[in-house]
Amino acid sequence: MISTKRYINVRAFGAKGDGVTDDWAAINAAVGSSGNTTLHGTIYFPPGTYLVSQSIVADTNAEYLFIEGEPGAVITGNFNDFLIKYLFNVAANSGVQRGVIERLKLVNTHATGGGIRYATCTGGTIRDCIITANRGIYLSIDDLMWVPFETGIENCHLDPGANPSGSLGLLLGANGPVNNCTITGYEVGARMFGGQGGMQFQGCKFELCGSGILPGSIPTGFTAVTQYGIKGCYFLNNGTGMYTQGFGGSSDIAGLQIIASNGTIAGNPQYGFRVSSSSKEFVEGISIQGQYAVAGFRVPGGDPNLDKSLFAGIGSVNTGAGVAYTMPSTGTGGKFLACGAANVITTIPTGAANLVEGDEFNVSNSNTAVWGATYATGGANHVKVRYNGTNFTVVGK
Amino acid sequence: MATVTGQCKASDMKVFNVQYYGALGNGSHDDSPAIQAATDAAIAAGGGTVYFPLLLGAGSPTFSTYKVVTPISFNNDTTIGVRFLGEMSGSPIRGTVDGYIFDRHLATPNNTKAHRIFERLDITNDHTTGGGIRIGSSIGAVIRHCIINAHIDITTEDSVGVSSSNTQIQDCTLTGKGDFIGSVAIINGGGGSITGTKVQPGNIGILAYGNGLHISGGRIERCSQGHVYGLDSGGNDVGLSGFSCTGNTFEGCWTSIDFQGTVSGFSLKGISILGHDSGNAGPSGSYTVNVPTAQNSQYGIRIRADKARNGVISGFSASTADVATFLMEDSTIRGNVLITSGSMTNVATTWSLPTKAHTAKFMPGMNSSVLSGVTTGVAATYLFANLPGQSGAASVTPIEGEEYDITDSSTATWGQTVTGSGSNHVRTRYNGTNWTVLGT
Repeated sequence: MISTKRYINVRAFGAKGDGVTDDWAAINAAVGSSGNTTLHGTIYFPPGTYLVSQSIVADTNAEYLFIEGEPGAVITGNFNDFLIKYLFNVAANSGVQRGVIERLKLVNTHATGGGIRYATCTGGTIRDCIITANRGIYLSIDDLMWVPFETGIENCHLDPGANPSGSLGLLLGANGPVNNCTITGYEVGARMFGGQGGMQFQGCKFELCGSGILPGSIPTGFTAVTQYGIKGCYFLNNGTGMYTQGFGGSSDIAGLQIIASNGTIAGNPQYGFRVSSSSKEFVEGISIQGQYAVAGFRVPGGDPNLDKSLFAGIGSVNTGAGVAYTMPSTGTGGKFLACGAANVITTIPTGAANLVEGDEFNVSNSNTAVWGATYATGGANHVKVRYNGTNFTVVGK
Repeated sequence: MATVTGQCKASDMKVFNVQYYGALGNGSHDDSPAIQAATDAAIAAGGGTVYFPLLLGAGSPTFSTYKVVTPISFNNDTTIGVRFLGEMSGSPIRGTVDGYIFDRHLATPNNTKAHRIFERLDITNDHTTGGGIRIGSSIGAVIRHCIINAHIDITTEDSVGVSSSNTQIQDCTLTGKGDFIGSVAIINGGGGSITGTKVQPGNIGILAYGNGLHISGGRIERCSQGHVYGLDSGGNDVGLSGFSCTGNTFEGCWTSIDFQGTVSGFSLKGISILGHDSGNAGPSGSYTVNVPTAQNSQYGIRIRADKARNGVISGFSASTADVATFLMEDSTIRGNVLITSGSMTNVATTWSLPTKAHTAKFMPGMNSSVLSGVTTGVAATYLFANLPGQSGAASVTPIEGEEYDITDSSTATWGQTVTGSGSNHVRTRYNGTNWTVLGT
């Protein structure tokens, strides 16, 4: 029988798994023994605590490299790098094509220690892992500016342990699903970049993070993230739940519950859902509750980047110091349908080119509240107006 | 483990083969003590996989079964977890168990992260009220590539009714048992994801409540109620929030989607409903649904009074033949719901909409789809012949801000007040005094 798949037990390479001995050399040799052959190997971790002094690195010609653990298999370390790295091999011009890591518990106790980093891997999966590290899982660029593609993160559960300062749970650079993950206690739960997009979060829970999902600094040579989805997720007690700053847009964000209780984390909840600098966003079915210092749901005024966005079926209740909604004060092309009743703006949108017949806004400075009357500025009444292609007509109060 | 080759000997792997612990897998011997012993050994060893080898009996490839008489408990795996691994239908696990075949239930629920993993198992519980898998007190449990046939296939509720969180159910096939009355394929109270999962006859397909749940790529077939939202297993309205259901098919259900509890922050999108046809064979032949006739509510999507807030239903195709394809019950409070881009056919009523719709919006695209899709029966739409409060309308009081499309207006001029019967089709809004045309 010809076997094209081998199980390689790290203990056969001398790993002790006693939590005391440095098992790095043994494990790295096991990984190398898989990668240096034309066979494709599975590195197997029986239950035990495997202490490593530096990163386990797969950077050879391991076209298909699997790392599997049993329940009870723990890799632990205390250093400023990731416990496991799948990297592009510059010299060999090759990388791990299908990198799979399953059923491991990873603990890095260093103040800036990391869990798993993939760079250049294509079609990988990280599944059923429990990670405690300041940097959880990074699907990030390598030194040739490649990012890992089509990498799925599934049923992983991350927290920064005793090192929340500057922490980041997930860093995603290209397409792939994030399914049923819990991200708890990070300064930033998940950050995305890269114009390839195609990322989707589904069934995830972000809890006690400074920001749940936040795109931040974009590496040189990359663009803001586009084409992404966030579906059926739960944001509990984060400083800001969702913040779309830096997103390039083309998103589908649907079916979220965002709750925050003031005072539960440092910095206090600021926003439930904050939109900024985004285009072609479809945000639908969002329920926001909490005690926010600024706003439950915020769409900035006067941002031309909100072109072609639709916000639908959104409800916000804010019992904190801020407001439930802030909505744009000038025309943007973004549409708001069936949103909460408190979406008051102070100035009628201007520039008919940006307006579509049927656009509706609430305004607070009308001097008329007579049904069907044409809008005029300068009043104190709060009325609902609708654009009919020529001017604004009061349609409600 | 059968597939182990190369440098890793089977004895090196922490795989707890139930046959080494005395399981015979012959269909008659009680294998539950052996399976329990293997489970306990795995937990005692600091983790591992409980493995059910392939059963190649004399009648191969007709497989025998691992017979279970008492539930297999994994209650005491609090920090590590345990993995149960089989060979799909080559290693069936079957019993008549009053309880769950695999059971984790703590008297004091204590949700912990651990590797609680069920993979490639084929589980049958022949007890009339028995269950497949109960995972209580857990964060991040997984049921993947499993086939389960039981009265309650999977529940995330603890014995005291507290749910685990973020359970992942992936690529499973789940069926009900016996007369199906009271049966549920999945009770999920703590979010997570249900993907690629097929549910076949049962009373309730998926009973979902809690926060942050994503259901996609699934199929619900011949259930009394395909999806029930917002209720716990005790029937209490505990709500469902942060919910996405996308890319799912419902076929032959009495009611496909039922908002029985409060649903908030939701998205139903990309859904195909091929409803039960009480008079004819359905798309896949004649449907037999063994459920109490009292439950033959027969709706494609039913939103009960006051149960939907902050959500969107879009991109759906529905064909039913019973009471109504889409029912949104009357209520006094209903907030921020958008319904758009649907196509519906029905020999009875396509739409049954509330007389007080508040901030619910129905987009025009829906209307044309409905009209073009109806080929038989009554072409009911959401066009109202008589507005609430008008002569001939139901005796309800309109509320300021309500909007409807009507067919009997004599005017289609922007901003004009509706004056009475006519042939124009216009959109109107109630301003507290009368109805005014909003658009054409």
